[in-house]
Amino acid sequence: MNKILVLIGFSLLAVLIQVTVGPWLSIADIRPDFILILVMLVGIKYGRVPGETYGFVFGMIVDFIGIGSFLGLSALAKTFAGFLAGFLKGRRTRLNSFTFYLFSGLIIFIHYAIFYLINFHSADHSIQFTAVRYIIPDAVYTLVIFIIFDYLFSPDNV
Amino acid sequence: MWRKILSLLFDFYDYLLLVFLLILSFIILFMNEAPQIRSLQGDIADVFAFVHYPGMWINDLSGLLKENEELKQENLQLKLQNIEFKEAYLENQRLKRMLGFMDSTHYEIIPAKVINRGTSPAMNSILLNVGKRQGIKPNMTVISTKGIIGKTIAVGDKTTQCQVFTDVNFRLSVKFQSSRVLGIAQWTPNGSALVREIPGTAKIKPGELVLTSGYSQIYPPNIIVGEVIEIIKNENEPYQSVIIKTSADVNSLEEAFVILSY
Repeated sequence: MNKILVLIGFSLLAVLIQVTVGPWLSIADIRPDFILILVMLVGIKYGRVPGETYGFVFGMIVDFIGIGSFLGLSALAKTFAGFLAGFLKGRRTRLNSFTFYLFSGLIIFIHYAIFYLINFHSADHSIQFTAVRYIIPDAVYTLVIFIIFDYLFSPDNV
Repeated sequence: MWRKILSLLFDFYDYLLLVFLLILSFIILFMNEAPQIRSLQGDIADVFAFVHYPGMWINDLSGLLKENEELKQENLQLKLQNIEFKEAYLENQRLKRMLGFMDSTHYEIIPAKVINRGTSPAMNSILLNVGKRQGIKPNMTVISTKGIIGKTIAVGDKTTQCQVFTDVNFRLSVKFQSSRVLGIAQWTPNGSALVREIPGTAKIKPGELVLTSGYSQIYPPNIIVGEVIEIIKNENEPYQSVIIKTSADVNSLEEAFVILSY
C-alpha cells in the first residue's frame, strides 16, 4: 500500500515537473520526457508486468489530461517502454554502466520511434526527417536526464 | 492438458499482458474521434487540470513585469488607434447604411486562458480554462487577437482541449485575400504553413493576406491566418505551392477566444 502511495506521489511529481520544468528545459522544441523516465525506472525496479502496467496507466492519464492529439498513443509507447525496461530488472549492478545505458537508450529510442511515427503518420515528413528532427534528439535528451536521475535515484538502491 | 495450458499462460503472462495492453491502446487510438471518448477526455482533463496551475503561476509571475511594460506601450498605441478607428467605424456605418449591407461580424466569443501547452512539442494542443459551463462544444473555432489558433476537440466542465494549427495533422481551408484563390493550409516543421496544389495561373504575391475561406462547418470566414512569404513555382508543373507565415504565435499564447457562434 505504501509503495503504491509513493508511486502515485512520484507520478504526480513527474507530471508537475513535465508541465512546469519541461518547457524551460526545451531546446529547439526538444524536451526530456520525465514521465517516460519514471516509467522506465519502475520497469527497471519492479520488472516487466509492473513496468508495462504502469506505462499503460500513466500513458493513458497523460493522454487524457489534455496533452495530445492522439488518445492512446502515449499509453501505447509507454506500455512498450515499461515492458522493455522490465528486462533490465536486477541488471543495474550486473551490467557495466555503458551497456546498461546503451540498452536504456535503445528503449527510449524505441519509445519515441513508436510515438512519433504514429503521430506523424498523416504528415508529409519522411521517416529520416522524423528521426533526425524528433526521435533522435528527444531520445538523446531524455537519456541524458535519465542517466542523471539514475545516478541520483538508482532503482536498485532505493 | 488444461494444467499445461494454464502453466504455459502463467509462464508467458507478462507477454500476454503486453499484447492485451497494446491491443487496448490501439483500440483507443482508433476510437479517437468517437464523441464518447472525446467527452470522457474532457471530463478527465477537468479532474487533472490542477496539475497545470503551478506552471501557469510561474509563467504568469515571470512574464508579469515584461507584460506590464509591453501593455503600457500597447495601451498608448491603442488609444491613438482608437481615435482613428472610431472615425473609420462611423464612416463605415454610414457607408453600410448607404449600401444596405448587414453587419456580419458579430461573433459571439468567450475569452479563455491557456493553462497548458502540452508535454511534447510535437503534439500540438492547448488546454483552455473554459468548458461546457461557458457553453463550449467540440469543433468551435479558437482565435487570438492576431488570428486563427485552432479548434476545440475535447470539452470538460471547466477545461477544453484545442488542436492548434501547428499540429501536423491540422488542415485549414483558406483563401488568399487579393487573388481570391482557395486552398488547404497545413503546418510544416519549418515553422510555417504550406498551401499546395494551387493552380499555376493564380497570381499570388508575397505579403498577400491569407484568411479562412468560410467553406467549413467549423471556421467562420475572414479570420486572419497569416501572410504569404514565398511562392514555390515550377514551370513544368501546373500547380504552385505557397508558404505562409502565420500571424498568431501558439508558443507564446497566453489568452485565446472561443467563437461560440457566428
